[in-house]
Amino acid sequence: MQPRLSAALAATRLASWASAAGGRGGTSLPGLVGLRVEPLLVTKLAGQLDSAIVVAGTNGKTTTAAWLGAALRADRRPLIHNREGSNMLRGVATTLAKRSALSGRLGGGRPLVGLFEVDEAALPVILGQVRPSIVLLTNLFRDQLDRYSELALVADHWRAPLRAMPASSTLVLNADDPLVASLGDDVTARVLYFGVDSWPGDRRAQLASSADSLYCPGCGGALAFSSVAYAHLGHYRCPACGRERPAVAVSARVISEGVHGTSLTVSMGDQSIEARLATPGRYNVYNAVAAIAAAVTSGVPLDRAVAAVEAAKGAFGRAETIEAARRTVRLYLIKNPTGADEVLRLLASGLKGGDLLTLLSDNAADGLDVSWIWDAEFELLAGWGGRVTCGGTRAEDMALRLKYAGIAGSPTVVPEDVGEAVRSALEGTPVGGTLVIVATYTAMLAARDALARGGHVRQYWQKAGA
Amino acid sequence: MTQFPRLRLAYLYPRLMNLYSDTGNVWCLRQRCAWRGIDLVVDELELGAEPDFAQYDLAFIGGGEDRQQTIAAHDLVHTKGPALREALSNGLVCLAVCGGYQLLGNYYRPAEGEDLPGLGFFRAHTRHFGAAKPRCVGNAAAEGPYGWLVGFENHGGRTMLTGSEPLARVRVGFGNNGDDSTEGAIEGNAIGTYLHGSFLPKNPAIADDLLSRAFRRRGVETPLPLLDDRAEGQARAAMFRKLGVAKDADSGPSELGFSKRGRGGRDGAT
Repeated sequence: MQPRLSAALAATRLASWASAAGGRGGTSLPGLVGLRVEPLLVTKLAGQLDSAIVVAGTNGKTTTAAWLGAALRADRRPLIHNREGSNMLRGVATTLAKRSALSGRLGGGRPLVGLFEVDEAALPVILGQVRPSIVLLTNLFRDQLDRYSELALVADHWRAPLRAMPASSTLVLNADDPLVASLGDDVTARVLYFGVDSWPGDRRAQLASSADSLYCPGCGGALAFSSVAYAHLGHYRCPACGRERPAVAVSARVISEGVHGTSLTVSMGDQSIEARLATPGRYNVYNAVAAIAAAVTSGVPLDRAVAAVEAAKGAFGRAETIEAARRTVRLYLIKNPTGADEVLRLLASGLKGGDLLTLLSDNAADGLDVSWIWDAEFELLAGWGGRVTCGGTRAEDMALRLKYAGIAGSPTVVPEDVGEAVRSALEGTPVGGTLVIVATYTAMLAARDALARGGHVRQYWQKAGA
Repeated sequence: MTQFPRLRLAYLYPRLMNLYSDTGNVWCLRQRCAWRGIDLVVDELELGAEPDFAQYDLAFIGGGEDRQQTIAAHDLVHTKGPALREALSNGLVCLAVCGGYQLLGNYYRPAEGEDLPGLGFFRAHTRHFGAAKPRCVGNAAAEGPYGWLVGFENHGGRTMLTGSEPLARVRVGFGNNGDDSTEGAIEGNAIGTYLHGSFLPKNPAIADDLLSRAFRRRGVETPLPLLDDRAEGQARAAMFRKLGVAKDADSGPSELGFSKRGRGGRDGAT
């Protein structure tokens, strides 16, 4: 018996009941309370896991973790996953505590795999406490610079804890992101690189204006790109010091891409499997390859991992389609220029014609600085046919951005309350029509909440299974 | 619309120095010209380019990460330096934001290591105190001859003016250094500021002033046609409400100029 741990677990139970009684799915308060009582809560519970996998990076980590979870479940691994949203230490604590008996025993003694999506700032402390056998790092983009100040600092902040990982562990890294690939330098752990070998036509030779990592992480020289998937992801080489995209162990070749999905071939060694992703977008190709690479690293056969990812849907709020009040609502999360550009390209390439509701907020989880909207290519929406409205705590900033992007007419600014904005936009959309919602993180949660209260969608914390 | 000649803008280091979406400033100038039937040509000038700055009416430089700023500083001072300094002295209209503003000063002194020489146009210098002083981060409002200015600031370096006039007085936020309530600098036709967000779309008076200065330099005194700035006013009003500053803040250019009202605090006057 560990009295302090038991007391901490009892405290998390009370906090969960309290937040459930308040009608909210508390995903961070219980953990926060538990860590107050027992600061080693995560260390003690995670130590009982059979193995742990940590997923971090700027964009797509929720989707990637969800798809990796699907692959692990398809391989019948009993899983514990912080899928409900909080990706700080307290969220990991909440997830672990929920599956522990008051005695401090995790998962009733069954060998569990822990899958944790982790915030950029929380990665070092979580690596120290969870001691994962696999760390998957997807990409690094400018996001919430008011929290992290500079991109290179995020990577530097990660290097020491990654170098401390033992030889028995594996780092799964995106070879196509120069800064992420450089995190494999001088580590003791095994490194497995994944990437995308080719795109149909390789049409984008130009780096997007939102591209971040244009300079060699080794010597600081300008990188030369022979092909670019989007933003700064692609095939690169430093003419000055010779650093280049590392050889990849798990790779994809994209055969065709469109608004309804992507066809690709996934290869590892001498195995090649054709796959079809229903969730469109180049970023989702990276999410899929990342999830497959981590799954095979943990021992899931390649064909099973690919099949599971093919069958999986987008994570909550990311490119989700909801039928509401006889209208179709498409929800897209936007939170930084690179991710937003991919969503805007998708919208521009085939989904025009519906109404558009943008929800821009500047709460702490969104980032206080909304400047990034000027780096995203909202010009792609010029000529949008339907009604355009702007909501969220910074609705007026988005209305101004859309004015400069040449969106016809001046977008209407709707009440600050996101729920109100969603309800009125939905009422304004004709029956049988489509309402596209692009929203920042907290606005996305509030929009989904409003749709749930209308009975159109289940609250995300009520999803079956864990 | 032939009374307004075509303008040329030198966009310095658009890839290297675009940390906080500073590119929105250039886009704003281009659109405000386009809406008036004026042609604005933008040339992107990266590392190594040695342009003839005499052929430009305007120049813009944004902010970058420390390492990128070091690369840009070397190029700015050694490759482009003499020509750019001469053009600025001859009245080249310029907007420099954040890191770009720092680079146009005399020097940048990092927390560790050697001073980074600047272009030496603004009579100002910048110091980074490392962990000893926190970064200056947050929404900010300042007041001066251009009326109220709004934006978001995010800088580690602290700038001291040693001769250049400040652009405005800080009402909410840090400004140049968090101590003397100055924000930005004006020297000739050049403006430096720590405000992004992006700066010009939310402060259209400055955008139009930069364009007017460029035309005056070409001998065109005709006032710019007015634009419908309701969306700009709406975004400014929302920020004033958020920051709790004067409700009538946008009623026109301030008559107060550089008065001695409290620094960095909230101005509750209505």
